[in-house]
Amino acid sequence: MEYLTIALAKGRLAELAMDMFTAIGMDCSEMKEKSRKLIFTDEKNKVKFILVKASDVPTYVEYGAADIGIVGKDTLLEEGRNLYEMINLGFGKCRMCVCGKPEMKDKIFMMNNLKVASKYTHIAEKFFRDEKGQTVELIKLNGSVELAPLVGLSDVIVDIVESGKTLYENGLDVLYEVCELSAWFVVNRVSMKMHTERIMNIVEGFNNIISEEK
Amino acid sequence: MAEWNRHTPNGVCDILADECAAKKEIESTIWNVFASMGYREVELPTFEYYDVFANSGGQISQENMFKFFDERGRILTLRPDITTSIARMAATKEDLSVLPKRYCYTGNVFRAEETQGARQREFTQAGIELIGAYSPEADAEVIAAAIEAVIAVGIDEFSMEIGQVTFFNGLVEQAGLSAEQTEKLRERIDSKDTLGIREMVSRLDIGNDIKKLLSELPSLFGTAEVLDRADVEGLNATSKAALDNIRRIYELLTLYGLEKFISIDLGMLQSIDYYTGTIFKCYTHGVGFPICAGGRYDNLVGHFGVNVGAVGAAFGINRMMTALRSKGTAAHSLPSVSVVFAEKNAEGIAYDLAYTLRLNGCLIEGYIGGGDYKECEEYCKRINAGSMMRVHADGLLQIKDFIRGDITETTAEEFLGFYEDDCDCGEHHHDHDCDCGHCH
Repeated sequence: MEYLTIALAKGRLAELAMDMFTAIGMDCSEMKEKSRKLIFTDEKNKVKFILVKASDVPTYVEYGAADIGIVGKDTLLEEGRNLYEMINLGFGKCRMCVCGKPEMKDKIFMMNNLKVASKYTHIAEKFFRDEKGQTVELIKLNGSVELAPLVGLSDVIVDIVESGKTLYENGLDVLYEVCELSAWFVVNRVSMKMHTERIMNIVEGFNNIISEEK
Repeated sequence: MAEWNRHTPNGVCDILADECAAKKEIESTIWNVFASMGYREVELPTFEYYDVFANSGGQISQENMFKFFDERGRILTLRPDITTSIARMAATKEDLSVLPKRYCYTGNVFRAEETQGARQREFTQAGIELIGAYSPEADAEVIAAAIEAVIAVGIDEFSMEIGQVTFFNGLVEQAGLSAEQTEKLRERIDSKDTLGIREMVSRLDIGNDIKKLLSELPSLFGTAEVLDRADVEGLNATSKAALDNIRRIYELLTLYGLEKFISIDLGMLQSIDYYTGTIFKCYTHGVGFPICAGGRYDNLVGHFGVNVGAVGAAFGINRMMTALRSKGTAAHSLPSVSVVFAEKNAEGIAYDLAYTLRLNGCLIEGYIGGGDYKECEEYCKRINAGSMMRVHADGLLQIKDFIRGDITETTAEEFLGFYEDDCDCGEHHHDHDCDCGHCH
């Protein structure tokens, strides 16, 4: 039997995902030990887990280097890959929002050449272009995006909001909610067809866990 | 200024000799399958007017096409696919009073993809188009040809997934969805997001059977029994006709003896603006993308002025190479080359010898390295030659066989005579092929 390869987004999502894989009878013990290894094997179930950067999960899965991936919806939307996005796992919940100084609230969709800073430029562009019909100026940033409106680099930002604490502490506010986010179970289109039974077993197991929790 | 003269741009690549040999082998194998079924090869221009691709409802959006201008300011496009060009050619150049027309092609296509190096912007497609036939027999023939080609290339574990987009269109019709809702639903079905579909469908005012069917569409794939599962109460005429159509195609493919390669997938809903009926994709191990895709596009040729339907299939040759490589079988091991080395004043005899052997199907390289026979021998070892033939001015011929590791001494005359005796087809000179059907 060939190995099924599962790509997990490093960090908290991976840990929550591991709990689910353990719950359906897979052995993730090797992964829970702190080590620098990147590939973990469950010999009994013939499954390999790989830990990759969140934004790389869709790439691994689209190219078939991994059959299955667990990754946040934010990454999926930003990367726009051609995958089966099969299950909303429900954990890792947060929101993608347009944020800025509170006084911007009523102006954002009226401003000409609105300057938008974001790590998620595709999501931001798609939101303003398709949903609001607005052409905006996009500024790609890689971290501490909240700074941008404070120092005048941009009018607003598009970013993930979990508790909103960082925002409020910096005098910013959520101005508009773009969409809700959470972790998703994604599958390569070919793998789905070549390993239907094994993948559907996992899907079923996950669906059962999710409906029990509800 | 950066110097780029030693590099190739993102998304294009050189294909070195070994790989190229494997690629040509695949191309010719596929070509033979198509040709034997009456598909005739055509060549189309590498670039055409942008209008050809822009206004024909094609699958490739404008930002994925390479564009440039001609001397009169008209927009030209490097072809993003070949099917569109064939539709244009058939509609504008061919006598379509006798139908169907069968065409095949091999060529490179170009896509302006955002690439970080991995996705190709130039790649080779081979394919067939069957124009002017609407029957399930036509669809089955194209799918059968595609399967035969995959088998002929040496890929034995694969799955040909067949869907029917009008089945979904019928359901949407029935539910009375707007274009926007349809697209949302299509996206969710295509990405197999069952919960997302259920949430959308629960709000629709349609019968429960149809609701259930829509939510189950993502899992309506597998063996032919999914066709029975899809055949629920209350389907409208469009959906019913779609089911009948795909069922008949499946029956025909069974008669071709190919059913073990076929699966049905009614949730396959990509490019539904382009396809008007059957849609299929072929998957195998080791490649994360389909190696072959196609379907029925009855509206395409109409964009060029003649309303005839068409069905076709396209192969990604580079993906097939990946599939074969991951299978571990070298697609094709080349016959080993023999090197002819001429001692002083023996060039004439050497050329004669090489000529005759080549006529008889041997792969012969002349040594032009300028060194002595020892250097030639070194060279032979470096290139993995099968043997070295050292020719002397007096006709002496020493054949060093690198596989057996021995040397045979003979004369050029005798050696060629040996071939003639072997031939058993009477007297002949080495200026014509012995035609005895053997590869010597």
